[in-house]
Amino acid sequence: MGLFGRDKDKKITTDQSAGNITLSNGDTLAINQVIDCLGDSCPRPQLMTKKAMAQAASGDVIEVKIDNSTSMEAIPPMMGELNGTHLETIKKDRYWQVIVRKN
Amino acid sequence: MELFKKTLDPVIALSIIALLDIFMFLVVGAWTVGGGETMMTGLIAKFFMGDQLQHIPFWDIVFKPDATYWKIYISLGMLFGSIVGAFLSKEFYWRIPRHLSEWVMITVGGLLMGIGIRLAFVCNVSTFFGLTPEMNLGGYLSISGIIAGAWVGSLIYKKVLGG
Amino acid sequence: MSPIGQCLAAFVFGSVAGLLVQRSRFCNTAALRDAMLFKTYRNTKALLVCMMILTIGFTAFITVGEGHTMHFDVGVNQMLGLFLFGIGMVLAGACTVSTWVKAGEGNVGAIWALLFTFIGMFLFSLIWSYSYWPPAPGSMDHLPHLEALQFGYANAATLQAKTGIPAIFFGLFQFLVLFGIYRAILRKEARMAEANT
Repeated sequence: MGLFGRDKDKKITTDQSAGNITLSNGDTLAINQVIDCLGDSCPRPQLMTKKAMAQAASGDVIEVKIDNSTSMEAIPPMMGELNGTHLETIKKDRYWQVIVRKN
Repeated sequence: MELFKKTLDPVIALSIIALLDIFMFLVVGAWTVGGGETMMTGLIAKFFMGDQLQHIPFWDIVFKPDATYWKIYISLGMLFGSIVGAFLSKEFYWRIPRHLSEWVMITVGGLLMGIGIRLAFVCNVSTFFGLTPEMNLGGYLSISGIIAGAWVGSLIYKKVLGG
Repeated sequence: MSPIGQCLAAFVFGSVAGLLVQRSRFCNTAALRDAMLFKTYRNTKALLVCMMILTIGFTAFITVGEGHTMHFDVGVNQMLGLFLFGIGMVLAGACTVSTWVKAGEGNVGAIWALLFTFIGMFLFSLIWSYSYWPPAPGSMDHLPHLEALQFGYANAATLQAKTGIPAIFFGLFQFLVLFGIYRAILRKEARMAEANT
């Protein structure tokens, strides 16, 4: 359980086989990148998303895994500034999946 | 219930809290947290140190440990309310920070918060929801201090994360 | 009011506040930090609305001499203390309210922050003394003590007593200032939304 930051360098896990996600309107999208922010406190998930959005190519779909409620709510309003669109927030068993797309 | 399924608009939530806070202002006093936390520190310290505590002037003169101090129960009430809210909306689960930098920053941040509250004699809640609405001049000084502090803190945070 | 009644009222108020804050994910830290770091104003707007309501409510009751005002002297220590607090709350990612609320959600980081807040308070109490600078009751008697950087006691009630103008008048002025900031934020958000479409 990397409590002491052994996994410090792989903060952003880029996983090409991240799979697909089905939104509530029936669309299925391929996810290009998964950012794992489980256990992180505010504002680290926001900063990670900002970083990933800056590197992402246009049209990329990014999934942010968050279990911190305040950060989960803070992602959608940030999208205007980062030139992206918030597609959906899906509540999972132990975390939220925030799906965003770079414009 | 709808309340436990989706996020409540913070403006509505804070308006309800504001009305309740005005009621509290009439009955006992405005919303505050720092005082209650100090008293809890005193009670915990007394539990461990016993009568030794009386040799520290602060706990003998300013905050004599007293379990019937009403501000303690605001803090406990908030803990209780949020546990109820988290369980009813099925959001209660342990979240453990995984990065060392996170633990270090939380530790330093917690210590700074504690020292700051004691130095200022107010916390951020009494600044925003007590002193400033009462137009206490100290409230304006506190707000300028907390804004400067949050700005410096954001710079440090950005530097640490390199982002 | 008896101490038990006070504690009960405080507990009920705290429970409702905790529940509402948990459900709305309001965070006082985020209200300040997100506005600076990410230019988002979700929490800032809520904070401003709450302060507007409280300003009118408190000053209205102060005008008729009701309510329990906080008896804190004005001093430089408040600015310094809240400066340290501001750094701390951004680093810890939670302020006093959200540490309690997040502790209730099961956030171990928040419980850890709370623990160290207690430790910080205890450490500071060790270096505290009755007479010298770190603000002491000796210099906090509602009178100015410049050598201790204390400027006495000043709030809406003292303003009313000194000038003879009802406190609600000053409250309205502060309300307008806060409302002006709120309007500016709304306008900025509208501009940003326009730029994106």
